[in-house]
Order: sequence, then structure tokens, then C-alpha cells
Amino acid sequence: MVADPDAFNVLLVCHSHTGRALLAERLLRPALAAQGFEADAIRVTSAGLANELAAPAAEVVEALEAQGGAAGGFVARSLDAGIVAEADVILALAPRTRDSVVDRFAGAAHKTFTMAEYLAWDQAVNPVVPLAEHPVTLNHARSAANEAPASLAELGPKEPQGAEQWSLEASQIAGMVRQLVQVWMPLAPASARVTPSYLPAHSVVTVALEALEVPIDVKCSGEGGTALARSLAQAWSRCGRADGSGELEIHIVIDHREANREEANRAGRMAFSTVAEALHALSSLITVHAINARAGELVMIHAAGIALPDGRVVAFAAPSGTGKTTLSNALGKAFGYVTDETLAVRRDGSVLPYPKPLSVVQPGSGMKAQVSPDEAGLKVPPAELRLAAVVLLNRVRDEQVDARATVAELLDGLVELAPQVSYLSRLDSPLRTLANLVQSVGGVQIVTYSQVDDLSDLVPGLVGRAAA
Amino acid sequence: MSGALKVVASVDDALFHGGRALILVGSQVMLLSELSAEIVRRASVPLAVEELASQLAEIFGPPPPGIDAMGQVEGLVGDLEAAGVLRRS
Repeated sequence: MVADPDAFNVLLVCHSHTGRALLAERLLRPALAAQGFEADAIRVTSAGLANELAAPAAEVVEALEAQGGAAGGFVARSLDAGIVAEADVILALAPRTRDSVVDRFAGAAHKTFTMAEYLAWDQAVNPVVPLAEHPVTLNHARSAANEAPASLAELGPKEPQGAEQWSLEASQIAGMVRQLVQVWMPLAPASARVTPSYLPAHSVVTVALEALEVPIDVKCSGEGGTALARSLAQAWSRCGRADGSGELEIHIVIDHREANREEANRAGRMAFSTVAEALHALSSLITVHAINARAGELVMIHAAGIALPDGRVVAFAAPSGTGKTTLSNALGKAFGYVTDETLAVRRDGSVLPYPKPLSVVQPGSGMKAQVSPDEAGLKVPPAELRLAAVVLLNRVRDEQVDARATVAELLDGLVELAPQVSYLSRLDSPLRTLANLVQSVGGVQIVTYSQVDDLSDLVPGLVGRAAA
Repeated sequence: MSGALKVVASVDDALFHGGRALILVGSQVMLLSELSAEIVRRASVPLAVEELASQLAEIFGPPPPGIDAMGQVEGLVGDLEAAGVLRRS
């Protein structure tokens, strides 16, 4: 049954607490509510670095109200270790504030970002992970990178002065808040949103899918509901479900009118203006809902999976945005296509196929097109699948190298693999479970390559290390 | 750090292998060096830092001349505490 994760705790921090963090908190809360989030599902609080805290200035309150927020009941507070410990993610409003938080609370470095930095890394990586794992995933990308994403646009180092500057600042923060909500929307658990209620004049078309053996009904409605249902069934052609009712329901409205979308949001439905936007969001939404439902039961690796004719599966693990779909598209024509996103393994080593659509990046667009594996000409794998190799991909982009595989020492391999495993901590004896799985297939292999086409010849050798 | 204070490991899971350790703290997985792994292993029960330093010296031998063993252990303990691996008891 569906896991019911705790609330996702968001902490917003600025120096004074009565300026930028106040604005962000009081804009984010209603923005989440307007998208149908339950009040306690994503818990938004704020604090300041300063020890001496004043009341909010009138121009800050005016700027907030002009953006539709309200400062009623606000009480400033100073950041302390207890507040930091409660947070799942700490979003500082400026780089200097983030640095001060990390200086004072070094153990929180992995979950502390500026708001702009958090958004920029999401845009760069676009990870399909449960909301609870989103900050850890972005931190992993940040730690591995040599430079900040190109899209990073921070607020200025100093808080604004005067009504006009505060008005501009509030507008900037409101924009970032809207982006945050869009990022979190498809990653939040089903329980985070209000239960969809009846909407008059909405005919509903249901698409019955199955993801990681979780039956999911996608209920499409609005002016574009039928078109969405048709496109969804086509793109998810290998995940269709013939019978039975859904364990989870996802309600989507397609309507070009903003007022209608807002009404749908209030009624607990997600709403988009186009079918393409909805398909893009649904790819993450369906995957994350399935992962949430199977937390603690399956080892779920962020990996592309391809299968040999005898059912032996190679898991190519890599963070989002590093070529899993390209690899699946290339190797899936020669071998069986298992998944391009989440490779799920049972305790006995058998693999659950998750042949979702390929999520193909569209140049110049923030969205990914959803291409059916049938349309892409990918092979159907055998019915019985078994994990035979776990591979971490190391792509060398700036020079041509011969593709090669090496085996990592156990702990070195596990520490690299662990960030690519969803809900690792929910498994029984998580590290031993992961170690046993990895050892059963001969350890974690690191594959270094330049061109994805070079990997094809490597595949038979990768599976040779698995225990009989 | 006062000699009266004790530290205790605060990890959700640990895997010791080849002298090193992989540990899970919340949703973070960290790889510990041999010295840090031994600290976590010893601190499975509350332990004074002085006692910890003494036990580590028995296992790994005394530090090179000019290196303050106690200061080195306190530094490691501080790093592990900041990372949430150890806590004060």
C-alpha cells in the first residue's frame, strides 16, 4: 500500500527574518495551498540569522501584500540547531546567508542551498525522485559538478532599501516561489494533496496503467482530457493495465483558461494548459507515486535497464540528466528495454520491468517529450528478468576513450551507488541488503566510455561476473 | 572539549569492510576512513574522548612525534559530530 511519508519541512532563511525570508514564507504557503497541497504536507517555516530581531518594516509588508501574501501572525525568530535539525531543506535567500548557515551548522551543508541555486540545480538535473530525496539528489549533483549551473541568478548580496526596491524584490521572490511549487508538484506523494472533489461539467476519461506493479488510474478531464488520455495511452503503451481498479488515482485537467485551472487545483486536481505539459509532468508523477508505494519492499535504482535474450539484466546507474534515456534508446534496439529511469529489484534478485516512455529532452524547451518504446522500436525483454550486473556510468565527454569496465572495491562502489537508490533507508538492514545485491552480481562495475554506441559490445562481458 | 563529555555513535546503519565503514545517517550515506570507522565502532556505547583516544592508540599505535593524539581525535570527533555521525551523551 502507499507509503505515507512525513511532512516535507522547508526552512527559509535570511539575515533579519523580517525581510526576504518573511516574503518567501508568506508567498510559498498560499502558492502551495492554491495547487491543492494539504497544509501539513509541505511545512514551510522561516528564521533569521540575527540575534536581535525587529518587527517587519511597513514597506516589506506592503510589498508582500501587493504579491497577494499576508504577514498576519508573523513572529520573527533566530535560527538555532533545533530549527536546523527539523528541516529537510534549508533555502537561504542569498549566497552569503547560505554560507553563514553552513558555517554555523556544518552538518546541514548537504541540505542548504540558496533558493536560486536549488532551482538552478533542479533545472540542470531534473531528477525524478520522491520529494523527500530531492535535496539530497541536488546536493549530489552540486558536489559532483565543477561549476554552478548557467541558469543561476541569485538575489543581490544586500537586502533592499525602500518601498520600490522591496516591491521589485517581492516580485522576484514570488517568481522563484512559483517555480518551486512547479518543481515539487509532481514529486510530492499522493497524500500531500487534498482529495479530489467533484467538478461539475467534467467528463473523465480513465487511463489504467501499472508502474512497478502498482495499479494507477490517471483520470483525465477538462477540454483536453480526451486528447490527453489518447496520448497517454499511446506513450505508456507497455505499462497499460487490462483490468482491476487503481490503487492510486492521479487527476489531471487540461484547460487553456487559467481560471479553470485554478478551480481544478482547489478541487485537488493538477491542471495544465497543454497535453505536452501534462505528459511531461506525468512521467515524473507516475514514477514517483510508484516509488513511494514500493518504498521498503524493492531496491529501486535510478538506472536504465537492458536485458539479454536469456533475461539477464544490466542496470546502468546514473543521476538524472546524464544519458540514461540515450543509452536505453541505443541499447534497447539490440537488447530488451527494461526501463530508462527506475530499475526495481526484488530481494531474490528478480527484476520488475518498468518500460515507461523514453523521456527525451527537447532542445530549447524545459520539457521532455514522452516517446513510447514501441514507437522508438525498442525490443520487448523476456518475461523472467534477473539482475546480472550493476554498472555506474562514467562518460568522458571531452576526449574519445575506448569503453572499458572495472570493478570497484565494495565500499567505494556502494558509496557511489547509494545516492542512486530511492528510499534506501526504508529497506531492512539497508546497507547489508544493498551490499548483498551488489555482491551477488560480482560488485559494482564502473564503465568509462565516450560514445553510447561503444557500450553494446561491452554488455556480454558485464553480466559474466554474476554468481550462478 | 571537556574530558567529562562522552560521545556515542548516532547512525542508522553501518557496514564495516576492510577496516573502513559505510554508514547511513538519515538519507545520507558516508564512507569513513579506518580511523573514523574505528571511532564509530568504539562509540557504539557512550565513551569519553580521552578513553577513545587511548583505545585508538592501542590499535593504531602512537602518533608520530610532534602530533598531539588527543587533539587529533578531538578534531575527528568534532567532524563526525558535525556530520551527525556522533552525538554528545
